[in-house]
Amino acid sequence: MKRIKRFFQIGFMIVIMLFSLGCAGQAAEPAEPAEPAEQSELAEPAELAEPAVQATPEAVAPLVWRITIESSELTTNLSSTKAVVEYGGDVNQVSYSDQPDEGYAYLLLMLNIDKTQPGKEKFLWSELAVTDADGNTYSRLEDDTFLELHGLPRIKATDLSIGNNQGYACFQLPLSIDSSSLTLIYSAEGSKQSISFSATAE
Amino acid sequence: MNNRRKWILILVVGLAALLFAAGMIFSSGALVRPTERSLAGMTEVPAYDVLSAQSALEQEILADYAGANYTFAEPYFINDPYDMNPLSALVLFDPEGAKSVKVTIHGDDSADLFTYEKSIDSARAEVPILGLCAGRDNLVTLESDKGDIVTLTLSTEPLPADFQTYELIESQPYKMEPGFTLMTACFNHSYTAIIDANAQVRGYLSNIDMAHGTSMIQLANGNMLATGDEYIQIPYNMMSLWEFNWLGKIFREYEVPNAVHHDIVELADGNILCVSNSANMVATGTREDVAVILDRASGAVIRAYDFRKIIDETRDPYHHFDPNIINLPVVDWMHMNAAVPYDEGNAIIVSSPIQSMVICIDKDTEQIQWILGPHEGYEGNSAYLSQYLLTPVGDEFEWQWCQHHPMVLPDQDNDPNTLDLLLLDNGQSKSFLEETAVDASQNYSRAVQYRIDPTAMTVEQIWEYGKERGAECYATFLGDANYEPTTGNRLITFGGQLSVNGVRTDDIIDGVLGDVVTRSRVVEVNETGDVVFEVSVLEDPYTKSGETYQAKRIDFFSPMSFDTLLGEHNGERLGESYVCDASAQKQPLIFIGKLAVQFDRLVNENGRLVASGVLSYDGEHYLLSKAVIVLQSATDYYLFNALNALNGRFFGSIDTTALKSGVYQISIAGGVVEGNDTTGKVRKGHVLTGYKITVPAADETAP
Repeated sequence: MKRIKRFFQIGFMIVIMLFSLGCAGQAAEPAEPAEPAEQSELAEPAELAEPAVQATPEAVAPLVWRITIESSELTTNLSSTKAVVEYGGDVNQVSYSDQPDEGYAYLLLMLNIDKTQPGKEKFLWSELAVTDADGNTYSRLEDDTFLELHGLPRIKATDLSIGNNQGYACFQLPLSIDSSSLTLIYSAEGSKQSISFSATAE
Repeated sequence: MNNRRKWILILVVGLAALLFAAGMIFSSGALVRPTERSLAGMTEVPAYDVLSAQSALEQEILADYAGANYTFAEPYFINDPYDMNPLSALVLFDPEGAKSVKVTIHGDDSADLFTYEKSIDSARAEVPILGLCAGRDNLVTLESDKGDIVTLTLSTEPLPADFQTYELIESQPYKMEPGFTLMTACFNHSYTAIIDANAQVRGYLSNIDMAHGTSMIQLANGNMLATGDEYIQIPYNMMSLWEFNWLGKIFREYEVPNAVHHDIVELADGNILCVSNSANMVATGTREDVAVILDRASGAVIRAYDFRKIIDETRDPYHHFDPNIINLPVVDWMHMNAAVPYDEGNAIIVSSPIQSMVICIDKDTEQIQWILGPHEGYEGNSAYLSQYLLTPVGDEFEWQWCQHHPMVLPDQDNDPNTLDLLLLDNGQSKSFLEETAVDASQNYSRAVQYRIDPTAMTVEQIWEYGKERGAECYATFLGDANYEPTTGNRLITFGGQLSVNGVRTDDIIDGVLGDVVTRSRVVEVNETGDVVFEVSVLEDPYTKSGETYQAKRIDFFSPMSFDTLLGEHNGERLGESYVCDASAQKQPLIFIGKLAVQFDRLVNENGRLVASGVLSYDGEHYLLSKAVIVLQSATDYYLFNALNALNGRFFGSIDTTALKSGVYQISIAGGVVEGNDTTGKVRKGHVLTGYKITVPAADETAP
């Protein structure tokens, strides 16, 4: 009986080893370079809506500034938790959050804004707005620097001069709007464009 | 032999053969060897070099500028051209014969007004705009020497949400030392900033990992010198020094294999004296006990002063720096925080706050000249040091405790044989013994000026400020005291004021980790102790940190620092990088355990793999840990010891150009230790990171 048990043990070990061999070649998911010991999440599940990118440039000439929406999210709460290991080994969770005004949601747009040709035209944030189906317009928040603290790299909010610029910009929209029918409009001469997109709130 | 026995024998032999084969596979390392398929699923470590990135930015700006004609009346401008100082801009135009431009940044009142002149001696005028205010449309007037005037509106972003708060307590600009105040942060929970007489931020470094934990100085050529952004040991031992201007242009990077921390000084010959470590902290088991001189031209370490050989590393007075971590792998017995030249460069004065010692040594022979500090604790191995102790004279005298930033003053008594030394006496505990330590709520810090007679071996207290402020100005750690040359004022930084729930504490380690509230106070006083400028620095809503390592009054716009044009000078990298030792650990043969790694930096800098991050185990973070970086290709493997810091932090720097060419998967073998004792229970593991690095053959270009 003991011998049979031993055979089973040995056989089990072999199966485990062969299984490990099979798994050894599999690559792990890349460990994202991120702020250590820090989690950032949208506290209320925000739907990630695939932007219906319908760039409808009104200008015939090539756009000086080309805008693309990488992602759009609506949320009523941004919260982050940082695990703090105190001297002595105790671990504390430090949380902080940012909320929009009552009755509003944050619209987080991950944008690519690229200058396609040299020239005097700057990208002017004052010319960029989100409009809803009723024609109401919403500008980028004057101060959305808090995004960085939630692990959301933001795009510069000063007028852009050069380059391929990528990052989040934050708008504040009423919860009551039809978020399935939004448009990002840039109205500066030489780069006029509008992009339809949707974002669904929870 | 019956059938049953025969089958059993066959089964045994078969299993033994299988076991043997499995053992062979296991021991050959096949279980951790990457395949083409597995490598295809990994992410290549991104190439990044800050100097190349800046050169590319310059070319991009020049190409954009070339796309149109820009005149003085309608110039080209770009905010924060190097993504370094968001309160700066660069203006370019065809000067059309103009030889200079006067720049005026208009603030709210005369104390905010900032004016300087930039000369023009090229076909393309490049005028740096410094000192913009945050979160507003700034009016900037340019006036050429031809009499033309143009006013620009330059918009800036608000300060970051986690920016510390500067609260102005007192400001009498006409009595203050001229210039702006540079407020250097100590840890990467705060920003290094430059403020005006209204305590309004007029410039800051958005790269929060650079210029902290080390003094930031203005060199004779007008450039700034501060630590770069690559850690050797978190939170403040850094790989390099960056020489840069306030637009953020890096002219030179000096790599220091020993790492740099705390104070740096430019010597009369242009070389840099800085406090550092032994070249191999892992081997010596100690840290922050070496001063080095860097050759400015080559960046090489040309002299190292190892204080383990000069004073007694076993002297162990009580102090709050000593973390209650048993068997700490790298002991911070000295915590050297300053080294300054004295006696026309023939001597070096070094500060050890942990030992409450200021030590003067001969620059060439390393012979101790004198020691300034309390006389207790010089027994046993330390007894031989007693002969160097200065004797106090005069009616009013107090020793310094855990001091910062000794500064040699210009001759104060018309006696070239005496030395006047100004320093910040943090006053931490005011005792080597825990039972007689002064509680933080009852303690005080002060700037103190001592007069030392090296011949008579005496010390006299000449001047002090801070005692009368009591706990309000008590700073357990950090800070400095500066003698200002024009006014004779003293600019004093009470840098690290710790509290828990409003109660003052000396809990330095949690302050360093950003886990307790840390505030600071910067005070400028005149000779008689009248306050002419005072700023309280408070924590921001997102972190607990409002510490200030040092404050210095500087010339914000230094013309020489802006002499080079875009595209004219690519940043140079000098010196030698720290690279990790090969590990003696055996090749891990399996991926196992619940170890996890999260990188905060992983780049390929021209063939040098830079990896810093944090280890956790089963989702938990541990105070102590050890990481070994494993590079494994289909045919070769290498193991390197990372440098480890508290809270699972590790840093690795690997010269991959010395490896055989190939594609290497990157894994981490290591462990975390339970509790705060290196002999605690260890939880080990070996985990893939999901990254790979390609090492080209010697004749190929690096990826």
